[in-house]
Amino acid sequence: MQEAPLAKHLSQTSDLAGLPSTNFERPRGQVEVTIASGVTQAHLAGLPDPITASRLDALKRIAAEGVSIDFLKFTPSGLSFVCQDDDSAAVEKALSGLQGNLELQPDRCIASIQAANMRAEEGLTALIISQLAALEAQIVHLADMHDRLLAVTDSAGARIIEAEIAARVAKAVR
Amino acid sequence: MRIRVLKFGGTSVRTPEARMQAALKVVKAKEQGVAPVVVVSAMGRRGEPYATDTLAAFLRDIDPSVEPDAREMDLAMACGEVLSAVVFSHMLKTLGHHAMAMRGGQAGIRTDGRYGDARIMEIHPIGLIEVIRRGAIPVVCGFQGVWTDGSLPGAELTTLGRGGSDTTAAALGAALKAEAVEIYTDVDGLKTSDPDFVPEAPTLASLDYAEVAEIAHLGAKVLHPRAAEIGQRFQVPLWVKSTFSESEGTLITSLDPGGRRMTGVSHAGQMVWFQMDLSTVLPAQRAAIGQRIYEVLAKYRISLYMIDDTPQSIGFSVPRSQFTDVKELFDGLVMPMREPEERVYIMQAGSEPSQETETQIRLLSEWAEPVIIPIAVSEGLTMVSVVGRGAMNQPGLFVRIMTALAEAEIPVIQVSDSESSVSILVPESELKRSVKRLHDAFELEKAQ
Repeated sequence: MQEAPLAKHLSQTSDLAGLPSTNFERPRGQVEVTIASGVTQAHLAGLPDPITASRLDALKRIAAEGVSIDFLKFTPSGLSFVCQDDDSAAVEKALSGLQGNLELQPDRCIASIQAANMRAEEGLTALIISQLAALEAQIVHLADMHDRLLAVTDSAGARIIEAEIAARVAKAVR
Repeated sequence: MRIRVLKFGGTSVRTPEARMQAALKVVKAKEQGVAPVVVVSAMGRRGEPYATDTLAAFLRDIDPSVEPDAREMDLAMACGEVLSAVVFSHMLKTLGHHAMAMRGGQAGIRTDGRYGDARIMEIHPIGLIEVIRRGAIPVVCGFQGVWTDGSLPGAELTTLGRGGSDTTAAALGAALKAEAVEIYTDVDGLKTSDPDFVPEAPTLASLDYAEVAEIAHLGAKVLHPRAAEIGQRFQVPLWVKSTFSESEGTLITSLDPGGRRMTGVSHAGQMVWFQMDLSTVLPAQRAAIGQRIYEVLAKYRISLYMIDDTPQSIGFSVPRSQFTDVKELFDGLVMPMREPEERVYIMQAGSEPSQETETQIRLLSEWAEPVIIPIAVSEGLTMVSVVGRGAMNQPGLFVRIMTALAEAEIPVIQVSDSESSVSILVPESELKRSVKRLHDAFELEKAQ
């Protein structure tokens, strides 16, 4: 090793054209959007105290109907979640005996906005949401994962998000 | 040519004894007919003389009120890996093997130009291949690369941010089409939970890339999620193994996509929950107010977790380290709106206005009655997550989680779920009990 002019060789590598190379991490601000339709946004409010027990009771009733829910959030007097449109009747039946107000918004879409490593990039999640808020899409709920944002909206909103958000985020990041 | 990348973390290169154990792993790989490529972190952990944090402190401690230049901070921090690579390379030579320490740039790692948190854009591994072809073992400095800015002479050194050495190893594995990337640390592999909280937590034999990315993002510290994402993209098998034992470790690869199971319970650090009550905001101004709030959070690079955004409120948690920043940013923040009618909103953190907010309200009242947006702040929280693969859309999952915690009288402040995890916000004082209860509830002691 000692006799070879490897150091010189290494110093030249950045100038060599046609070397094997690979794109590794996606550039910051590059997002991909996928749309899922056919979901219902549910808001259950006005549950009696103690609220923890009331929420658990509601969740047990939904589970007993064999319904899987997503995007569960606790609200001050209840909870909200998303289910498949096909399951909304079962949810309504499950919660009919509860003291509280159930509001179901059917025919919603979930726009999933994915950006690699989004949460670890400080400020990137907030930047994407600020760009979402600037669109004409009516968003009824937002949730986050480590690499994506999930926006519940109507079909018109989903189309707007799908068409515009990627370019807006890319521009904002630049 | 069979190539295997072996990455050794700070604890694996901390002492001469640890370095010898690590070096013997490399020698063993070579004796198996594999061409090893070594990636090293800086020696030791926080507080130790050559650790990355210690090197950064050389600059920060000069005057804590003056933020060091990011470019020069990178130069200072990268010294830890350079020293570690040189020492490790020499140790291999003393064992009778040719070795060559290489900086990230010499290994061909090209990044974007963000000092302190660069992304790997491409790798030109010709230098590495040349070293291997000559029968030597490359010992590459983790955590660093280079980028070229036409305004500066030569290539600029950049560091890759948190978990940078894991990212280096995975990226080199992909570029070299390595048969495997082995991440060596001081534990036997990935466990179903933190063994400090759940001593009986078993080591998992295998995980899917997405599972490990999820669990790493949610607090597990064994492998950085960026490394998992690169592994997944380029289908490089990753292993997490112990430097100090011969145990099999955990294989991270593409598993049966139809398979389902609960993977583990992880926990993140200290969190603070902010809940902004927007019920006083005109519906026509709700979107603009939300946009303004998120613009402020983005501008100051605040990390958000467990976002709950509805027409009536915006809730999110932030790491405790960013709590003061967020509170100062929003308490007393004035947001004037013109359409469809003129209104001035002012945000107020806590039930009573701070002196600054009170002054703002008094001054604004001379022009218009400001509308208060109350912000409820809950401190002393932490996030505990149940992670699973293909198991999150089962009816009754939330019931199982909430029941386990309710029976132990552990309050749940908020919940957030994805296709592969459910996270809950609980008081920090209940962290250990929460982790244990959930681990028991899903019978993770039986996991494999």
